[in-house]
Amino acid sequence: MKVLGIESTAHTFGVGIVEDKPPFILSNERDTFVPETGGMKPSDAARHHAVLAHEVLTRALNKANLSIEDIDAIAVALGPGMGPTLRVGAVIARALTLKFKKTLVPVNHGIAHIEIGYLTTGSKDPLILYLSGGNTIITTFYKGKFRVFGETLDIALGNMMDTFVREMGLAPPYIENGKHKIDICAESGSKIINLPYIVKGEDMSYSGLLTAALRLAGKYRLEDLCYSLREIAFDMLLEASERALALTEKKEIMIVGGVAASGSLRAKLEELTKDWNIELKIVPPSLAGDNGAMIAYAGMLGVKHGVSIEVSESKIRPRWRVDEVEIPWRN
Amino acid sequence: MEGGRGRNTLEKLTLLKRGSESLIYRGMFLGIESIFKIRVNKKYRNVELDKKINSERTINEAKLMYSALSVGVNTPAILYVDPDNFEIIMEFLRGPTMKEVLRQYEDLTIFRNVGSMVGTMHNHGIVHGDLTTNNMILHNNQVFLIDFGLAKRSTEIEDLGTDVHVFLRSIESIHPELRDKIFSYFMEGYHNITGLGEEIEEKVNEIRMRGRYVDERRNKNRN
Repeated sequence: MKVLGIESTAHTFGVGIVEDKPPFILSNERDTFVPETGGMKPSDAARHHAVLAHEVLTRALNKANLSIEDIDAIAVALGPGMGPTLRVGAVIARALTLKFKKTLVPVNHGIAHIEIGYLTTGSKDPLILYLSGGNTIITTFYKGKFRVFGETLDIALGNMMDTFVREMGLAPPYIENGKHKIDICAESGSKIINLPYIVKGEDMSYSGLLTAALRLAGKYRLEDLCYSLREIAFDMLLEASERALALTEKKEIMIVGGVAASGSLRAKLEELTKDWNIELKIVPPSLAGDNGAMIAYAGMLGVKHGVSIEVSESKIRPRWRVDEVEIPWRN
Repeated sequence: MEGGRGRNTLEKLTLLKRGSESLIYRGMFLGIESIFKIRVNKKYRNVELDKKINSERTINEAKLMYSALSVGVNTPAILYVDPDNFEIIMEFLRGPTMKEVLRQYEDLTIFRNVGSMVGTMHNHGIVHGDLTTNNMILHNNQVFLIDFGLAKRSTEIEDLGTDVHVFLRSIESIHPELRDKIFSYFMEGYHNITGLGEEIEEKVNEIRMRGRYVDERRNKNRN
């Protein structure tokens, strides 16, 4: 069985193709929208996706050496994400489904990040940290669903750090030589500035931290501010994770999502897992960020367990939480 | 590990379990069977920040446990506090955690008592901060609250609501099948003591809607 997956929840338009035997991923093509200044306007990102969709789709089929006729099902990320960009992926998926008479499979973007993590890290029963630009979630699988133990109560960790470096004039681009701008800036910082550290049970709140750091801009060395912001933000996440570890007694931590590529976070997590004597599994950088292969892979797991959707029902779901999704393939 | 006032009298410590931020030992203190809760240095944290958090939380926890105990909430009695070593010695209470109990237990009415205890704390301006079934011990058929590391003083509805929200979230993720029953007994007990049941439930919903990707929020905005 071969499944083609389409990703368009945020800044990346991606198409991936997988089959149901190793090495699973046949191709994984993408193009990411980067605004020249300021934050991302959803309508601009959507335009980018619409313009490039045809090219990315063709590249994915060519790299896999397949024609659309060879594909059994079309998987599409229907949410969560930004309405305008989600619509681009959904329209293409519906068109392919109707024109070539395929099965359409709805995929939750977060579940796709998690499932590609299981596939590539070989995790069995982990505590999962799902960290990306728009998500900061601590979850585990239990009785048919991923249960959320903790999450951000407001903005996501990735988004918070992006916004800070952008407001400080350090970005875009956000990543340079594989390093986030906050890390580059923090390298020459050492002093901890008093900023709000907010953990509520296993939940975290980052908006107060961001606001406080922005207000202190100019009053302290920028490097110390970057350092303090990053340390406090990560420490909040690690503390919440430790609470979840104590509660669930898991023996593995699996990190998925775009922020999984962060070297400074990895160093902290290595200390934490050594201390708890548990295993640290991190999704490889090539599959950490948003991509089509993870959508195709999660779609394949779904379609093998009877998950599909009629085109007429395939509305986008900008606010589709991971804990709402039934996971028949893990029961 | 020697020299401290408390240390002279102890015979030996046995590691009972590892908490999220501390090691929990059992041993004798002044002839009383005791729990030694010792916060550990976290290697991943900046040293300065680590020290600050550990020492603040040790003092804070001891103070608020004592306050809770003195208004009639079931918590272990504090015997000794050593903020420099991030250590609290408290009375040992034999019994399983409620998380363990719920693996087989059917009678959930005991959560009425949990709700009244939390209500009593809230009436006296004490917020627990980490209400999970792992932080509740069933001792002599009564529930005792432990781990006041994230506790604080507040009478703001926002903080009281957050406290209840943390509890709801924890039962939802660990005992999803018992969620509704546990929560309704809890709120019954809570309301009887505080009279704030409805207000708090509204607040809990509001907090939930602030989370990411919550459908109700969108629907609410459109109505």
